[in-house]
Formats: sequence, structure tokens, C-alpha cells
Amino acid sequence: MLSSVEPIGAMILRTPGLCLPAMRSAPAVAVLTGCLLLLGGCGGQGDDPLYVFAAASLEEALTEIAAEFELREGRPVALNFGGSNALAQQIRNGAPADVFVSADVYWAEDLARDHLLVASSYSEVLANRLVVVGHESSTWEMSDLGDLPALGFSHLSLGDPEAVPAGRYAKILLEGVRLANGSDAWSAVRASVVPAPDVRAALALVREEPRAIGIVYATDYATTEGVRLLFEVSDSMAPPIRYVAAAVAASTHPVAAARFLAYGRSEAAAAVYRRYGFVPLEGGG
Amino acid sequence: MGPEVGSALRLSVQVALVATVVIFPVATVLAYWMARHDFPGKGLVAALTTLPLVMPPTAMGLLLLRLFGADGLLGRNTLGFDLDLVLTWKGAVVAAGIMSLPLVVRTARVSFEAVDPRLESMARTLGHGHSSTFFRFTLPLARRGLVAAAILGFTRAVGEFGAAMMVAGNIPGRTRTLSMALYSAQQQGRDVEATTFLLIAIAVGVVAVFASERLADPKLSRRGAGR
Repeated sequence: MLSSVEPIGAMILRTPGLCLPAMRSAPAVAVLTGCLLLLGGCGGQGDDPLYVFAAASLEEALTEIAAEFELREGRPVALNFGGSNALAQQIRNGAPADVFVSADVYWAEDLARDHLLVASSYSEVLANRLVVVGHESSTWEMSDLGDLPALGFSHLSLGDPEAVPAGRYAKILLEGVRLANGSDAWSAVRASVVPAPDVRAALALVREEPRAIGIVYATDYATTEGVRLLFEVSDSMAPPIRYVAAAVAASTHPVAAARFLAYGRSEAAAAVYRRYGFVPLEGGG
Repeated sequence: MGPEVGSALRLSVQVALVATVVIFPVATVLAYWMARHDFPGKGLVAALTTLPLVMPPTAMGLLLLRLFGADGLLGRNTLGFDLDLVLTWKGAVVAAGIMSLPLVVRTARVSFEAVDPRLESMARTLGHGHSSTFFRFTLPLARRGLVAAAILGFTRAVGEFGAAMMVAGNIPGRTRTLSMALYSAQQQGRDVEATTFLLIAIAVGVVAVFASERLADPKLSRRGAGR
């Protein structure tokens, strides 16, 4: 019970400017203490959940897999979805994660370098593909990635190309596309890039803004209405898109984390991933 | 300071300044109206001007995005011309202005309510009309509170994140304001920049709160003026 109170207390202690004025009055202290006890009480009920921090693109598939895992193992799973970069920053700052599933090797290695992940649990588990999408009412046609800069869109919606895996992949992809004028496609489109906090946010913008084009994962496109497929990026053109799963070194539930990772590699989980368009990697583990 | 810090600061000031200049007259009229008059639907007006304060900023952002989106009520397909608010700094101004409106209206309303209505009656008996009374007596008497309202509104506009993110996006150099640059630096793992933005944000907040408290508190402001 105390352990679940601690992070909240620590959070408040780290923001002295916010809590000190309130501390002056006794009622405020009483209210604050009451809130902490209430929160602590909630955390103490039943089994501690297993915290799985996973790339936003995995939302539907992993929600399904976690529900099956809960049924089989009787252990509640709490899922936290977001850009893998954001999740990595949360884990780095001590968020109580047990399992991390990153949409790229970059952010997994970023944590692994500082021994924040369990090295032996680290494995590439899934592959994915990129697609170029437009609003369902759009009329753009493209047969080659070199056509992209000349399409006349107002904005190119990506996960933040400096951080979010989907955006990083898209940037690497476009940097490799040579245009007739000798420059690369990334230089031609970078001024129109709208960086989104995660790939789902990038896709959402394309649904809202008919003049925008997005580059997202094929799996995101498959689960979303209101967008039109403009181009499928083949594996040979793109950087390899690899999802990495690992147990978090600071996890207080290493056994359950290992069981969750093992379940993620099972045939039952692979079937779910395939249904959503992911490619489970053989020997991923 | 890196180039990103400079551009984010400049953009924040630009967006917040324009938002405050546009919102302030509207907020002042609304505040005076509500402080001095009872009219049918006053409760509704008060509720509507408070709404951005209590609604999730993302909800407000989505509302604005739907409103200004291509097929929205104020979208280019409906109006026949483009207001150019989606993913532009002007969109950030609209988001920041609407989100700071409640704070400006509330602070301004309190400062109007603090002006003794008998002084206004006296001014009228001395031959001043409505607008003359307002501009020559009410406004000067309420000016401290109004300046405080403007400062709070400006600061709220600087800090706007959720609604602006949805309407204007987080485009470096174009719509990436201070709060978004802080967010992006943290998300990209650039700790030094993130901390720089954090310190700037704290400084802006502290200065604004001190200034507005001082202006709003008659004892403090008299002492300050006497020095």
C-alpha cells in the first residue's frame, strides 16, 4: 500500500512551488493527505496490475492480447499507450512500468544502454509496414514515392520525425528517395511536416484535414475509417520496421513480466497480431 | 539558447499578444455588462464565457477543429473562402484567445464590481452620458483590475497547449510555442532544452502572478505607488 503512495508523494515533493503555498493551511494539508490515502487505498486493492507500456500503434491488438492474458493468468494488466519515445521518457523518469513494447529499436536501445531494460528479455517481436494515406475525399494518385512532393498537399502529417518511431521511419524512408532534380524527397517536403505526438495523432489529422497527407503504419490504416490508401511502401524501400519487447529492469513483478512477454510470443498472440496486420517475427525470443 | 528556444519564445509572445489584444475589448464589454446589468440569459452568457475554463482543452480544440475544418460551420466549403486557421499561427491565436477569455472576463468583472455604482450615478447627475461615464470614471477606477485581467489572460495564452495542439499543431518555427516546444523537447529526450523551457515557464508564471496580485490588491498597490 505504501509503495503505491510513494510515487505520488515523490511527484508532489518534486514540485515544491506547487505544494508549499497550500501546505500553509491545515485544511489543505488534511485534504491532500486524504487524497493520498484514497489513492493509496485504491492501489492496495487486489493484485497489483502488470504495467505494460506499449507503442500507440499496438492499441487494438495488445488490448485484445492483454485481455486474454488476464483471463488465463488471473493477473490484471494496465496498458499505457503512447509514442514509444514518450513511454521511454516515462520509464527513464521512474514510471512503474513492467514491460515496454517499443515500435523501434532506437528507443529500446536508448533505455537498454542505461541498463533500464532486462537485457536477456530484449527481443524483436513484430514487423510492420508504412503506408501513405489521404482523406477519403481526396483524389491524389501516386505510383511512386517520388511523386509525393509534387502532389500539392498542404501538410504532411507524421509522428514527430525527431522522436516518434513512425515519423523517424518516414523521415529515413523519404531521405532515401531521390528526385529528378537531384535532391531527396525529405528535403522537398520537410517544410510541410506537422509533427504529431504519436502515429495515431498523425492519422487523426489526415481524417480531419482533407488537404493533408499522412505516412503511418499499414496496421493503423487498417483499423481506421475516413482515410484512403495512396501508396503502400514495400519492405525493400523502407527501413526495417521492428517492434522490440523487453522487461523493465526496475519492475517489481519480474516473473509476471516474463510470463507476459512469453505469452506475447505464443501462437495465440501471434494470431491476434496477424489479424491486425502485424508480422510476428519467428524466433523472436 | 538554441534557435528553437528563440523561435518558440517569439511565437509564444506573438500568439499571446494578438490573442490578448483581440480578446480584451470583448471580455471587458462582457464583464461590464454582467457586472452592472441584469438581462435575460445572463446566466447563459456567464456559463458560455466560463466554459473554456472547465472544459478539457482537447475538447475545446476538437470543437474548434470541427468548426474551422473544411466542412465545418466556419470551414472553407461552407463559407466559400478560407479563414486559414487550421495548422496556422492564427489558429493558435484563436485557441489561446478562447481559452484565456474566461480568466479575463472573471477578473475584469470583479474589478468592475468593485467600482462603487454611486460614483457612476454621481457622474451621470453631473451631466455625463453613459459612454462618457464609462470611459472617464468606471474604466479608470477599474484599471488596476483590468490590467491584472490582461496580464492573466496573456499568461494563460502563453501557456495554451491542448486546444492549440489540435487546431494549430506543433509545427517547429510556425506553431510550436513555448509549451509545445517544452513538450517536444521532453518527448525527444532533449533534457537541457526541456529544462530551459521549464525555467522560462516558471519565470513567466511567477512574474505574471506577482504582477497581477499586486495590481489587484489595493493595499499592496498603494504602498507600491508611494515608493
